[in-house]
Amino acid sequence: MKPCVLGAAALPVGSYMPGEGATGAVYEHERLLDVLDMALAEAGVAVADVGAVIATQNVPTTRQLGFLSFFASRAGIRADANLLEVSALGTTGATAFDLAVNEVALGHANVALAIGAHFESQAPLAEAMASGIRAVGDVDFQSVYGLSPISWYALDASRYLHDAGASRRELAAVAVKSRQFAACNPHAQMRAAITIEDVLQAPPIVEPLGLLDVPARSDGAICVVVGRGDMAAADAVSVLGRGYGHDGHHQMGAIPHDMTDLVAARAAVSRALDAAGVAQADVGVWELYAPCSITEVLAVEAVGLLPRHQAAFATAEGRTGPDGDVPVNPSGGCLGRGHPSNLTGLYQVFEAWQQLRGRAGARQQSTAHAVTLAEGGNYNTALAHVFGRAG
Amino acid sequence: MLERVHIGGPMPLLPRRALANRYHFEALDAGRLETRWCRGCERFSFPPQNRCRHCGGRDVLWREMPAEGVLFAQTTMHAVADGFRAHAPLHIGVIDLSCEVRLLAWLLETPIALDTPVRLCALHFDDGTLIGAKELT
Ligand SMILES: [Zn+2]
Repeated sequence: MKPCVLGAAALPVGSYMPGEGATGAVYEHERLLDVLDMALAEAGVAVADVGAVIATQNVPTTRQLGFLSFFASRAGIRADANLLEVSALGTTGATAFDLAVNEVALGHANVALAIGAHFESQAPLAEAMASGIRAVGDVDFQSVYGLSPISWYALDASRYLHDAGASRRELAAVAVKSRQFAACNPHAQMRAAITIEDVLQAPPIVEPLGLLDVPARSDGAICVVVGRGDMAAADAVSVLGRGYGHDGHHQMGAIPHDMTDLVAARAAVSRALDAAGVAQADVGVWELYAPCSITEVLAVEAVGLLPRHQAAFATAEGRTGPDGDVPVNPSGGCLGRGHPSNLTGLYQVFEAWQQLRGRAGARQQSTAHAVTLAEGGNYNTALAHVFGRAG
Repeated sequence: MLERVHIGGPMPLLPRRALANRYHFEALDAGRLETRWCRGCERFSFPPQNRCRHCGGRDVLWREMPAEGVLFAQTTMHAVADGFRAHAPLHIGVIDLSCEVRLLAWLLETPIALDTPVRLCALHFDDGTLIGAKELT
């Protein structure tokens, strides 16, 4: 039997990080303890059952480093299989989940946690950008030009609009529909409705993207409990397959190629569906990692939900929104639910689990299968998982 | 020779002048765009390194690349990291050279339509050089 998601819990994505020198504040380990207990209760397992914990590595602005060992001690966890902090650019959260599933699948643990806290909303922006430009570029040949993480997506956007004959107006529709989904998601950060005009008139950040095309700063805390399939209820959510892709480039790469064609995303999803034995048409929930409006458009096309150079127009027609025929990112995605970057992959799993348990409220999709897809760099790496209801 | 454009002041972020790439930066300071070229497969590798990125060959020479290409993508960055503030907004282009090399440059003129031919130039700071580009006329 395939490993199952036995339970999960998360803080609504938001702003939790206390300012420097705050008193009476609640720090990330206290938030995560609350989330851990909610998740374990949901899963029907005890702290003593936990054999492995795979945590997302904390951002550099976290005061408590060595976080997982510290946290396990506070939580009373004694792992007999593994205690590991992982870091893999934007796939960090999905990788934590992937390795937790492995711990169960390999028989190392009956119960493994994929867990993380991400607090950076109050960190000085310059500090975050200084480390950001070093992470997403060749430090000697790319970072020296000043490109930040989101500016790579802006470069993609300029090329995509040129090739597709689309405009900022169509991209803006991604932000608008993300808020529509988010309004139905109690775990979402940006739940207020916005209009196309709001997006178009927002200050430019990395042209052609404006303030509402790019993610806000987000904090979060989340715990996903993975367990043996035979420990799960008959209608539990199984992890049916996973797939990985890597295009071999670092950001834009060093040789001319079409960097708006996300081949790693396509490979990861295709391999995951093959491993799961699930047809793409049988998937009704798609949680695609997309920090910016353009990124969702490119991911939707890469995985084959809409034809090349059509997704922006289709989004503007409402096809990927709440009433559309190809709903994408029902959680609200990075622009609606929010983007605590190291945890985004785990929040995607949380959405898949809620959807397949029938707990997604007004954004509920009627389907037996969900796909999550996370990425690193400029979608240079991609990690996908396929979920289904057991039984 | 690359056209020399004076910017002045310190570079916002200094590249490391390492054993494998120091010659590239020195040549750029002198107005030449040099990188490694493989005698085995006769292709350029940029950024320069001692191992050909195409065939893995180690028989690589320094050779000048053409200073003309086409603009593949561009952005104007209003939110920039410390050190770049004095130069904001940053106009950045992705440029494809005819020799199978893609590189970054600061665009000296904007907007430039994508697919437009551009000419590279050398942007001189007090302590180094970045690659710039302007429309080829
Ligand atoms: Zn070669």
